[in-house]
Amino acid sequence: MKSKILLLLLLAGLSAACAESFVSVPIPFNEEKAADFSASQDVFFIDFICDVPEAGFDAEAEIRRTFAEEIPFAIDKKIVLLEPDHWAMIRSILRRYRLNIDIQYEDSVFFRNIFKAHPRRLFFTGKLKLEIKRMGVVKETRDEMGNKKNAYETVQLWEMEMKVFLIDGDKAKILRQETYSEKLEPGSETTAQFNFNSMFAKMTAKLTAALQPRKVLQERYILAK
Amino acid sequence: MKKIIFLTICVVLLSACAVNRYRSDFEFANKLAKEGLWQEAYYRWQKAMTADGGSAALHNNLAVALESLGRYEEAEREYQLALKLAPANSKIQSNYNLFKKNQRKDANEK
Repeated sequence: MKSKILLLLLLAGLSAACAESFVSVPIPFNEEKAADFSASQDVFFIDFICDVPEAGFDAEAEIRRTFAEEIPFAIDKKIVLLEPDHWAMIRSILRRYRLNIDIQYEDSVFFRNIFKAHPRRLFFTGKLKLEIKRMGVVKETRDEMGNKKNAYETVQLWEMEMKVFLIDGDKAKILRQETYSEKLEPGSETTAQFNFNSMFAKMTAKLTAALQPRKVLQERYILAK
Repeated sequence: MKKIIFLTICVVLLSACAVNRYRSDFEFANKLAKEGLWQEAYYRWQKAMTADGGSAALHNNLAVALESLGRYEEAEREYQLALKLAPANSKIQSNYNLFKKNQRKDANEK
């Protein structure tokens, strides 16, 4: 009996001694920033190429406002609106014919001239496409008697896609490219401006998050003996 | 004879105190690390190192603290010391492999 107890005690002691004793802990790392905004003399915003249907709202003004008033908080730097000569005309042509094709900034004479005129600067620009589709849906309603019935209705479906480019002017190189898309089935009482702003605000939130340096965690083991 | 016994007792007591001190600093540092208080944990492990001279676990933990504080050169030195003392320890090896991977990534980005 005594020897069995001793054996058990010995085994318990051995297993305790052999048991690995460690704890997994997360350690923080700073992920790479989108760009070194502090090193840039200025950050410019050049109007987006927008393909937006006429629906009684000003998309371009909202985009401009966002880049002038909201994005600076994400990058900790003021953003200056830049209106290059002829850009309004070029945008209207591109909007109509070439919105699906991305501009090759390093090969574009127009952009190279802008970059040359503003050395040591970063540029935000991009494009935005909004489609308002009409869809037929079957909705369940109730009649005066409270009985369920199916009714055919037409609703709107808003589909928006945005591409944002952050360009290093000196190298004419895209430092960061972000693509976002949103869908919205607006309520019957909301205005077009409200619908646009709420979709654009969601995209802005994603862009803001993408521009800020994020902390990532990695696992390490600390040993307890 | 009495003096020798007295001195022996003193030595034993002092070494017991040192071991105790080492254990308390070491364990307290581990707790701090779990809370993410790396600067404080580093300080405690350093104190434990003075008392103990350095075990593989201690070098490993110091390396992790230094890594999280962004002191990569010192971290590498500590990882290497830890691996020298316990080359078969899979946890230290895993930590070191991840550390080296980050270093390579940083070098490529530069």
